Amino acid sequence: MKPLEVFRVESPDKTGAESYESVIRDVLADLELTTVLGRLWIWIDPTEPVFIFCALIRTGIPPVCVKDMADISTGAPSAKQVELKLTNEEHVSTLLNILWIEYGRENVSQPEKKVITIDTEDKEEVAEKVADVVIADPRREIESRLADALLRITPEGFRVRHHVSTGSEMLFVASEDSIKPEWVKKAEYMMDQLKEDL
Amino acid sequence: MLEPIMYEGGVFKHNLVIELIEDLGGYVLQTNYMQTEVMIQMLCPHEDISMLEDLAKELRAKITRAPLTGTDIVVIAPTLAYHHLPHHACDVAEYMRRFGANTTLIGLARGVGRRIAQISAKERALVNEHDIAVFTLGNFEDCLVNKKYVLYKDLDVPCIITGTPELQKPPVYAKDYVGHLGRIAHRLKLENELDALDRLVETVGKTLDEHRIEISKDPLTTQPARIMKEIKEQIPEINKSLSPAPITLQLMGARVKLSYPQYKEVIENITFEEGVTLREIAEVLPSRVRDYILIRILPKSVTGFVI
Repeated sequence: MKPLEVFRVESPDKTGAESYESVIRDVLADLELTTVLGRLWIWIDPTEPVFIFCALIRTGIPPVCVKDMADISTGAPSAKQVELKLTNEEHVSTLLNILWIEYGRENVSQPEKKVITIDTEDKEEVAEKVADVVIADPRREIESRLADALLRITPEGFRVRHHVSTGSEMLFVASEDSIKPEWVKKAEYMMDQLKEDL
Repeated sequence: MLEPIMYEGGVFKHNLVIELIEDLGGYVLQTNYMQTEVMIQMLCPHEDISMLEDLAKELRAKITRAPLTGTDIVVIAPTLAYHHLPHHACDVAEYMRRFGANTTLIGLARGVGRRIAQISAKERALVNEHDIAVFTLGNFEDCLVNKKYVLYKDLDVPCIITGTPELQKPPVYAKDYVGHLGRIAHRLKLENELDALDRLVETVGKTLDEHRIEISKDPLTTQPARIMKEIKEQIPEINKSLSPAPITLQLMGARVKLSYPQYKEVIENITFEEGVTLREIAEVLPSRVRDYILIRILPKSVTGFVI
């Protein structure tokens, strides 16, 4: 799926829909979400009043584990420590925090800028365990940005909301009155249409 | 008749301009210094503008007519959320300042939505203190025409509405409407957006001119600018105010940024050289903006004289 390969903003009010499309583009650009969404279909009918947002999210950004940002070694056979040689310094502060919590501050040290050591008796097990610890999950951050974008895009008065979100899709219905079942059905139909030819 | 003028030039010798205006019987309303530049808003007698132009030419400064000078405009967004701010409500307020207006931006507490949109009595009273209200509304024609009028139908001041669609006639209860200025989430800088802002300034100017003509049928006892001059001369505390416009001029009076309980008496006792005091020619009221003072000048039909 290419970024925003489907981008439809529809409404019985044509001028309103065109203007709304510009608002959505601005919000997505502001929150750096243009490459995150694959397909997007929005339906607004102010007379009902209802706002429906259906989006397919592009997957493929895996979480960052310790082994992705450091080479892990157990050093010399006599040394009772695990050594992490950092290859990427982006998440070092988070990594240090996690290591401090897990192994205690006194056992974790950073003798050089790109080297972190963990003092331990059982270094083989620790080396294996630490490799798969998740340091950062960009997808969670994207989810929160997406939620922010939705709140900015939705008309402000539409405070009754219904949403279904999975890892790869997001369906959102908002109105200022109670949500009617036919709106949700329409949203589900739109989502099915979006998912065609995937 | 006094013409609203804006002077933009260097700080060097700008005091000559201020002296000239005072000698001609005009008023300096506001002086803003921006490093080595100065911007002066003033009222100059119509027949003497050529003298001012000559002086400005000598000082390499620019003189423009600023139709919104000496007016107090309120720009109203449905709420203070990021749906409306900073673009486009702040951009509208800022653009009108360039033409000399004093603009205030407010967000309503519950102005959003269609059925649920409402304005409180306190908000209405606050808006009615100004000369004109500009409502920055959204994209959909149905909302603008059929729903949002509840926000402005009970206001006493003229209301100008902005929105995206081009309407044949202004929505009911609105004085005028300006299109292509609906919900926009980026800074207004494209050609059509600047055109829309220019049309808004023109519409606001036209509405204010109509209001000025209405006022001239029963003229005010004195000019608001004269009250401003007297306050500056007789109440030195006003110079300690940190506000960029300690006295905001309106078409029918002024808002003075001094505490009402503390300064009401002092303001009422301001004496003019004709021998009258301010309490005889104006009402001094508490403003809804903080604890400021609102002065409403009485017309000739009430006082029986003009000074």
